[in-house]
Amino acid sequence: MQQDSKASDSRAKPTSAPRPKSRWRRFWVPRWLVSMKFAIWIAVALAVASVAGVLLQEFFPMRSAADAEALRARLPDPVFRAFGLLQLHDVFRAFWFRGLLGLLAVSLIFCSSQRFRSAFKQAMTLRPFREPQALQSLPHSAVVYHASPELFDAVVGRLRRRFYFGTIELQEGQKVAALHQGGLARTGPVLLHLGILALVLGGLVSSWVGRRHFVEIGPGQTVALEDSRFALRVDDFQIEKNGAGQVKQYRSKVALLEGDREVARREISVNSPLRHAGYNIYQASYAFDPTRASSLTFVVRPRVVDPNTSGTTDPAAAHASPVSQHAHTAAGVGGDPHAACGMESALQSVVVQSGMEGPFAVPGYTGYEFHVTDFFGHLMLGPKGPVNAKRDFDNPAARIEVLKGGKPVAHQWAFAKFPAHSRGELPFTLEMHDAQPALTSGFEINTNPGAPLVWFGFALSTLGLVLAFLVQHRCVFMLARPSERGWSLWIAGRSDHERYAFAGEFARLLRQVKAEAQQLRRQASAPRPALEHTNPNIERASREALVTPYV
Amino acid sequence: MSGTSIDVRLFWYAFLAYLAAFGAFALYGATRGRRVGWAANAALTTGFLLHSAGIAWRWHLAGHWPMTNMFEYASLLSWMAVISYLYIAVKYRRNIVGVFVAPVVVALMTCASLLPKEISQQLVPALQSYWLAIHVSLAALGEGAFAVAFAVSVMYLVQEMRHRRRSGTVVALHADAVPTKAMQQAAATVGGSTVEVLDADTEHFFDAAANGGGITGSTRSRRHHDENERTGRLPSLRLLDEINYRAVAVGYPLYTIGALFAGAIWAYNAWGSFWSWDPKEVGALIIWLFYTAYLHARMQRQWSERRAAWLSVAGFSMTILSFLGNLWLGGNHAYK
Repeated sequence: MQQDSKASDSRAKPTSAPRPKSRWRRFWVPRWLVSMKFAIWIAVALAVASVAGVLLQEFFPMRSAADAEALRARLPDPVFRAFGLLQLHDVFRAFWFRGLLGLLAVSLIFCSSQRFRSAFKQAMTLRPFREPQALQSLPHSAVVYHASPELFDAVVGRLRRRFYFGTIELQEGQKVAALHQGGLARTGPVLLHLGILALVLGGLVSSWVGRRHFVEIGPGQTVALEDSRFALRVDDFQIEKNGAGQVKQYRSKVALLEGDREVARREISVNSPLRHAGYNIYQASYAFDPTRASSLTFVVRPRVVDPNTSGTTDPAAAHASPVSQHAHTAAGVGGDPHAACGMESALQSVVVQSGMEGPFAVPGYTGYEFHVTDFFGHLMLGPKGPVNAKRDFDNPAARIEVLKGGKPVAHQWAFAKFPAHSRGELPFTLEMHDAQPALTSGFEINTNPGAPLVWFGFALSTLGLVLAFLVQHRCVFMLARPSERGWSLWIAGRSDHERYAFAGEFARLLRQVKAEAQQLRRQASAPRPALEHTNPNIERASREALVTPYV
Repeated sequence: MSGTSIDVRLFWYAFLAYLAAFGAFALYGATRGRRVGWAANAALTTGFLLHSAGIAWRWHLAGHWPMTNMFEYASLLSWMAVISYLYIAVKYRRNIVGVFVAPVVVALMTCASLLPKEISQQLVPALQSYWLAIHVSLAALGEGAFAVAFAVSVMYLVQEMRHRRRSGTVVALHADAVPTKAMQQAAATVGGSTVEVLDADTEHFFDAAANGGGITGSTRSRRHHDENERTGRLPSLRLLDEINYRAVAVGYPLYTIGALFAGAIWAYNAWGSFWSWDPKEVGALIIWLFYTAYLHARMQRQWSERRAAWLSVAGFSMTILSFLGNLWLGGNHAYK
């Protein structure tokens, strides 16, 4: 099979045609750099590297220090070092990957410039054929013998009405025409290459010079943007949910500050970023802030004094004793069973709002205030003390400082899931009955200095695609001169990419030539014109669509 | 089926119609009966209409473009493949192309049928954009055209193989019975293998005879004679190459603009950068590179049309791989 393909390929090579000189030769640019083969090899290398990059990121991730440690343990030391040297943890930002992109850009520059002038020249001008043999070599050709000399002009006029334009030469004893339609299609590939070049360059510029970071801030907070004169303030954050409780959209009202001055203010959401002075601020995500609550509900419960022990008694324990069984009857504020014990209680609810700022007065206890010093969305006791186990709201807890006369007198913990376990040394306990999570809004902030080049690349590439693929370059050549069979008109056509589709159009043209010839013959008493096909290499079906030999 | 929603029922009816079209096209391939060809196209068109109704109804139920999960995309891809085939069928009027396209459509529908069919009522915020329709529909239309190109490439390779068999093959049974230089070239692969003996320098008829043992046949130039001739039931190689090119020439700009450009612009609006080297983006880029290589190969005279056809086959295979890869790989496109 290989022998066969080699044989057929060797037969397919053009014979003994000299290679065109490289335009860049005088600048000592090697020919291989200008060649399409080199560009294809670079593209293949990029494709392989891209696949490798995706697989490495999927199966050998190194997004954090923990990942790096895990990878170090998995891989042998030399391999891990090579991993780092070649930047395989982030192939797409590795120096060698950027180098490949740069080589691709260089290749595109040279390839495009090599072909730029010829493409535009072919788009604008078409060289006529002055010998019948040359016309007969084209894919579609025919000749009309005993034609009227005016037939040439009639056919040219007809083609012009179909937007064929080009060169017409009227000489003594000979008329030649080279007309084409859709010549701009020739420029399509060059424009497409230049557009892709702009895209690649724009991407490289943004990759090297652009900045990118992620911030998470809650309503009321302000954060300075890295390496920038701007700061971002979040005024509000809302989540919109549908009837089934699914998140529909989330929005932030943000303001961009330059010093103390507000320079931009917008409500942004996903797909609707804020762009100002080269900075782009995207609503990327949201999350629970495990260290803050948007609102906390506390119940102030008096500490019951047990006359038997002469000490304060935890109301929770008092509730468990048989004496307090009738405590279940509702009495006092909120049906509190402790009130039904006949013990004095001053049950009041205090709702702490937004940001846990305080201090808040403890109702019923003059001079006492409290504020929340620490909050945990999911409290866990670690070796170094209380921490958040996860970034969720599964075990809210708050550490509260109680003040009397403005001075701290006690600390206590309050647990939303276990309100009765709040303990302290005060005449009251603060039980946390409800905690609403504070949300933070996640913003992706970046600069994209290559963006204008990328936009230009999109526009140029799209224009190139339309011209290259949607516009067909079709050429019609004509030669009229006297021959042994009277005044003869040779007509030929070609379409670069769609031979069969053009065959139908050429057949229609020949029918019209036939009609014109008949009409002109009637006007002047001339011998009957004869039309013959001159190129046998036409598919049988197309040949059948053409006119019959004699008009 | 009583509990199945209307859009899924229409999907199944369309699947059945495509299966009927597949059977009719297979019969047409065997008999080349004109009425069978008409029936096959009618079945395919009926399936297309049912499929269109199903997609429209699903759009109505979901309240958004039905192209947000794997089932919807696979269904859309097969729908776009049928659109591309109908375009080629009207332009070139060759029912035989349907013989190879119908199995591809059925395969895509089969793939879709295996995926979960629930409608995602609530689009995630990232998908709430008009770019969803532009990006996904153009990408699917481009890939649908690639599916037709794949089918035609297979036709080309089958036809080319038949040409080589008919054009002259030399069965070199004995390595020592090779009197001519051309036969000596074939002697390198003796052992009963079938080789094609071609004179690399000239393209003309010649006969080679061996002394005892080897059977020789006449070989002749393939390029100038057989490419314009229909051999057997398939169109000529040149026509198949042109249909292949036309399918890729339709799909390539659509895919470039839809999958790459529109996707990049949408990513710039939603995620902050034109290109994130997401697994799906890399897959799209590699598909694009395959078809770019195809178009360059076709323009280069050194590349045979067979190589270009193989590139077209490989490109569509990459399309399927990229689609399936979304099931396992993460990234921005995996809305899990």
